[in-house]
Amino acid sequence: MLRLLTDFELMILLATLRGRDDAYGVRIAREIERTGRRRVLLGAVYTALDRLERNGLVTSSVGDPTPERGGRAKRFFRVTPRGLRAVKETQQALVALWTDVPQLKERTS
Amino acid sequence: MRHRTPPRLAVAFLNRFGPNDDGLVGDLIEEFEAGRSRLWFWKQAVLAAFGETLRPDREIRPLRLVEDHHPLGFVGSRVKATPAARRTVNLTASPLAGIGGLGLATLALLITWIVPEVWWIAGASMLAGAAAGIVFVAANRRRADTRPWMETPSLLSRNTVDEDQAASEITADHRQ
Repeated sequence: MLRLLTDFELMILLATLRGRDDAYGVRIAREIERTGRRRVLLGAVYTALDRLERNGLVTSSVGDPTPERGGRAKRFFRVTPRGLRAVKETQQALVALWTDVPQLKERTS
Repeated sequence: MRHRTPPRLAVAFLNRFGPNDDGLVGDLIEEFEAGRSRLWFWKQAVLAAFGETLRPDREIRPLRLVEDHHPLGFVGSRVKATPAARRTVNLTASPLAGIGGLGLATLALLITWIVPEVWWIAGASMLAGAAAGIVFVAANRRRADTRPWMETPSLLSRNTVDEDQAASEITADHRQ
């Protein structure tokens, strides 16, 4: 069993999955800000992505440089099968914790 | 469309002290072009540089050996990129790339100028240091192979990713 992901790692992996083939730093950060309702630093996103890549949970590839980015290329990220498995295991653990919590049941009923 | 010029000093600062990643700099420029302020750019640059100094794989080491990735791994219009491929070899015992090399150059100059006869001692010391580094790397790699994946250090370790195995495990999960 893989180690459970932190909330930020989980959000980054989910945002990367939602981005499909166009997941790069800005897109991932905007997705987290939009759906997660939290501000994120681009540097923090890249630090986390580098860590996930070192652990084999994502891979990256560099696109073509564009003028609107000052001639810098985009770095695209993709979730690996191992990353997908880590997301699923974290989801299962969270759902297991979620169930049978009386306080949550009262609100939903 | 009129292009805004990002703060050059901030870009230079990020290039010098931030992570060696064109993707991050390009993203910041893209966001700046989209309307972010100069203050926002500076904040992102400073915090990215600060975060870079806290990275565990930037700890001080007398000899930093990295995995060798072929620089011409082109796949279509995209180039295979990994953090290891962008890392530099640090021979200076300094956590900041480029800082500390002057000390080595000065030492070499002083030895050559003042006591050239002790160059053999300096050469032998360098060889001994390199040998000790190789032994250290080999010992760490062997130890890293026995650790859980998340505890495996990125530096001095093999890539332990086995995507085929992970894919087969996921397939097995689906079947269950």
